[in-house]
Amino acid sequence: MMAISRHAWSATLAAALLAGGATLVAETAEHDWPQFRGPNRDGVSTETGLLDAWPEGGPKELWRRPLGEGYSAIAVVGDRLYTMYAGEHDGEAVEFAAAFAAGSGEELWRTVVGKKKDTEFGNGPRSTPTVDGDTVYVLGSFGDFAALATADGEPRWRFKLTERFGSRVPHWGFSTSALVDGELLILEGGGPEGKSYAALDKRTGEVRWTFGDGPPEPGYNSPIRVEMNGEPRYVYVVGDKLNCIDDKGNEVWSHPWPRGETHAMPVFVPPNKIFASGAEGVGAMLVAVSENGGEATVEEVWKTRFMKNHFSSSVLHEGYIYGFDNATLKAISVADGETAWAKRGLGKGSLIYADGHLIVLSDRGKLLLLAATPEGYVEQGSVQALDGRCWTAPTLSRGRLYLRSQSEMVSYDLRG
Amino acid sequence: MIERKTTLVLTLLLAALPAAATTERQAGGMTAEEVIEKHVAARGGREAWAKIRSLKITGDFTAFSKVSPFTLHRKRAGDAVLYHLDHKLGDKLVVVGYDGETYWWDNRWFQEGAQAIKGADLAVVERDAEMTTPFFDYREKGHKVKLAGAVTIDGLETLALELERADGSRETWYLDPETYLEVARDSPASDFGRPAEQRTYYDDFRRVGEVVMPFFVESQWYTRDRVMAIAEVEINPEIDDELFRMPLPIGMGPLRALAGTFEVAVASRQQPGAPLEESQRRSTIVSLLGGGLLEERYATADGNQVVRTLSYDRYRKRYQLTQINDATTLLDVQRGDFDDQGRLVLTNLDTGTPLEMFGLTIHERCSIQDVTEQGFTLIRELSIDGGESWFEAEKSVYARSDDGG
Repeated sequence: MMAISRHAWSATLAAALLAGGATLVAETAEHDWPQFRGPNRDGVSTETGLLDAWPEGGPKELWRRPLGEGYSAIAVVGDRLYTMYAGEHDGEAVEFAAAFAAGSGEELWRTVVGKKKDTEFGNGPRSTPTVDGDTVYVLGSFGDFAALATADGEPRWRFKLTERFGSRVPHWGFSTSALVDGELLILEGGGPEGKSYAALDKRTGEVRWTFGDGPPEPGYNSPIRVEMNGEPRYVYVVGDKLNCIDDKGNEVWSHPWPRGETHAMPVFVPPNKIFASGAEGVGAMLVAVSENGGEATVEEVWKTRFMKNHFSSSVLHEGYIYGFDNATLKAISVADGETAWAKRGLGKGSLIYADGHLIVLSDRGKLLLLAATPEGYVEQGSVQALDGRCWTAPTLSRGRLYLRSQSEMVSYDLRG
Repeated sequence: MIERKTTLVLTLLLAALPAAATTERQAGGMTAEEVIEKHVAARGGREAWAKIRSLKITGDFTAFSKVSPFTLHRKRAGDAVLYHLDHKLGDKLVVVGYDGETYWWDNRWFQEGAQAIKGADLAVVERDAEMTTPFFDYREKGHKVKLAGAVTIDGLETLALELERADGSRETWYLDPETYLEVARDSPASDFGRPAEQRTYYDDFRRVGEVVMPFFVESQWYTRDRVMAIAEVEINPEIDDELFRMPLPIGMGPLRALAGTFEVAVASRQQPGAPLEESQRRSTIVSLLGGGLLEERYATADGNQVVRTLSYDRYRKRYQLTQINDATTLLDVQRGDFDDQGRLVLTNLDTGTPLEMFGLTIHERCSIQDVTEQGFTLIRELSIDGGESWFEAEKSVYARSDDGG
């Protein structure tokens, strides 16, 4: 692994001097989007003050730059963006982790993580960097896991999941995104013999515990962290189970899950429900969990065939779940799973929630602002933001939206 | 959820009532036939559609979230509708056709070259190829239709028609109860050959000439999403039937003229320098396996039965000839390719199947040359020195039979 600092000092200085730079760093950490699906891994932004409607032609474009292949989403901490992409290094096709100036899109550094993976539906890394303090955790398609310094991309430690946990490289490549919780780094090890899931010491990379027997090859589902009865819980789908484990690596509960590739992350419905959805004909399920004196019971509240998240996860807002039923954007009721509205034409898009809106990116690069309401599909603005296949969900931080395709990255100002 | 509940309620209602009475109640007093007539009228009517002898449709096709142009042709040929769709699925070319006999595709997700479509894929393409919805001529085709009442599709109330095709397969169509145009259809699907069920949505209906058709067709199943966005429709363009013909498998195109019935003039000898013995026979070469194999069966002048095949090995990129007769029962395999003079030259020098006789190892070389629509020439040569030298053992001149066999 090699860190490639690109004018590191000058870039950092330049970023700080940019007009927007001071604003970017001035806002607090709560406005960061430090990992896959945002601060709480739920696709929900707490930002306010966004435009309620976009002008003709869409929101103001701040910058646009080329980017190598990959579906890795964009993490934001302070005035820096972090993502992964494929490219060439010393004549080899590789996957990079990279940092960019949020204000300009200038690349600050990039570090080779591992070999590039090519697949029939798009090449490059899938996993999204997780930023914690001065460290960014990255995972390459072939299982190269590394902790890099946010300052310059220098590796602090690294290992291969395949070697440490005995896991196999899944068909689409290692795709999950690690979760930092306190001193622990939670990730799918993907290995046999009790090494399906793992917690590492986030500072050293040493294994604290492993858990579970998963399927023969790792999945594509990243864990969420929830609190039930004040206790931390990690919830995820792997193989034929919806699993919940505690921070000691003990199973709290599990529930049967239709086998298939489940990519979409579960959604926590406070105080005690979990929504999970999968494609390949699986559909969605809402379960209610009761924990009492060390005993947990799981009850299916409802199931529906009419919300089949594929690789795009759903978001929850005021009693409704908004998400893509394969290629149809829908709002369904948390109460009974019934469809409130449905809209086709956005393909296999992705979405996040912010400030009363859904920010939706179609699979062909059309960006839309919608009212987050069960009353109906209400467009409040749109722009053709990117060309080509867009399967990566938007990122929002400090009023700025960041999008990527297989060849470009772009930033918009959503505050006007 | 809504769909499931509604369907369940209706199913229970249907079960409790006599069929004919049920259909009348479900459609506000209309029978299935009346609903179908309204649907046919909404699409322009049977007469208007009957005037359409061919269609050329162009636009954009989206698969795997990638957009690329498509061109679709349909042409009536008697009761059949010939079909040709040239499009891409993601990055890969897929050409689909029906030539009146065979549904075929050249699907680069599987392999290059045309193949007959089978299994779950066939059911999908058969439906895609149709000129109109199946309700236009459902009686003539032996289909059965039943009203299934009101069903909500993505928040839109629809009128459901259950169709049982003559082959027993079932699908459900959902019509707009105001316009009687189709909203959606549930039908068999295929995901890379695995049977599935797809829902196809129809939007953006426009009048083209005297008929009405959807300009936006989207199909979803499994994790797939396919969108056909039509830009232009040309009615009754001239289309050569050749467009629809199933291409021969890879490598077999140059051998197309070898199929047929021939009068064969044979000149042969047993050893070098011996006088040529002339004979005449009749031979039919049959194209099998979708054109992937040519097979010839004939009897020699001395009564031996011979079976000969010719094919192309796409993986090793070589032609392959096999021949066997009832005298030796040795299956001889020869491999080769076209030379720079346009002759297809095959030998068994490296196939391990030479004839072992009289203490000799006898290799054979076959050359197919002078190929025209009227015939071709096959020369068989033998070698007893491992291919150092060859003598012409047989020359067969194939002349296409006037009676066509």
